[in-house]
Amino acid sequence: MNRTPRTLNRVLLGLIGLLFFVFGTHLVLVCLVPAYAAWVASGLSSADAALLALVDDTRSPGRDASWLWLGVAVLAVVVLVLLIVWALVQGRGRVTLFSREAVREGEGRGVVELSASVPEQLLRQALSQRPDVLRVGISAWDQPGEAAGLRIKLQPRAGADPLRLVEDVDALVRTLDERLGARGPVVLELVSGARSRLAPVERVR
Amino acid sequence: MSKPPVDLEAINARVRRRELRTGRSGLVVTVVVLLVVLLGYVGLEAGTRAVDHTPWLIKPDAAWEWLVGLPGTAQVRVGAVVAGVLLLMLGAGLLYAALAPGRRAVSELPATRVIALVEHDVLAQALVRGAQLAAGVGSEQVRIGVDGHGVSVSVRPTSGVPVDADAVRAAVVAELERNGLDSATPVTVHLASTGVVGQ
Repeated sequence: MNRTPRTLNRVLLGLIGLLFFVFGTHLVLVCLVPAYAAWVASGLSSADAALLALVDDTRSPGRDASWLWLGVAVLAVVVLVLLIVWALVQGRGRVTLFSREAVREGEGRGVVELSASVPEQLLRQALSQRPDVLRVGISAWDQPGEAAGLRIKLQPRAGADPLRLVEDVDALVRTLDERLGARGPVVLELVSGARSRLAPVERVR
Repeated sequence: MSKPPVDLEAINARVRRRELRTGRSGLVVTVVVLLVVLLGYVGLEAGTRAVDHTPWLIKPDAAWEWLVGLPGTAQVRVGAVVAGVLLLMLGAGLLYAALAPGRRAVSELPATRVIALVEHDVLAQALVRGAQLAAGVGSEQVRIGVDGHGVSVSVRPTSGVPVDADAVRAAVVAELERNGLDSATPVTVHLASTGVVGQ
């Protein structure tokens, strides 16, 4: 439900993977296959000569260094910053506002805002008292609809009936829709964890 | 302020599609950390070269010469080959991550309002009781694994008490059906050849 740029992730991971793959293949082939080494040798040496000429032409006055090196350093830093931005946009999209609605009442008008903690607290209260639920985690996420999306993460006790839990939460969310007057997508996740492995098994239903 | 009305069904379809697959964000963070270290080093070395300072570890010119002069410049050829193989495998792994569907280990249960996802581990735990009652053994004698392809049950019978594998399979299928899952899911039952004493 988050705003992770999934297509971008796949495309960039694929490109980086391809780069590593090609370079690794080149290293292996050039060391093990003489025919391949001979085949790439002429291309590499002409590239080497062109690069040397370029470095010679761009020599900064009074120094044995081309200013191209500075360009390489700057480029590395720019790409580095872009990479960090890419890592930081992963998993964004959590919100604290559940819904926002303009209301007209006679002459006056105003805005009704529901904080995300409203559905969160209501659901948590209803769910944390159940004996077959060990842990409740609820978060709100930005969605295009009339209300934020809710993610309900439950850790059921081992042996709890999944469908029963799902049906109860389903009914609970319907009631919540009625009470709050705004509906957003709701994802219910039944997850396992250390507590569900260690806590005693549910026996009585 | 009012957002344009968007159909909840359309939103749900999109959310469902996203929730059933991984977004690869963990891998992205790992790769970024790796590349930041690599690029940070390249930038540092290029910067010191630009002001004609003594190189930190390797002079970039020398590194380029080494690369162009391969295989002759490789002092330890095995080292270069091993490095190449490691890079190749890393690249293949990233390519796989980019192209594979990346399904999460969850099943969807039927629900009318919410999108209900159950981790396969949770589902396996829920199936234990049915299998255990059908086999007539304790819950520690039953091990259940669920994956995208089906359910595998392994039972260690109590010594001297036979276990009916078909009854166990039927019980697990019934339990799957009761939870609203496809009853055509293949269920394999494996009975251990050695029994458990003292149950």
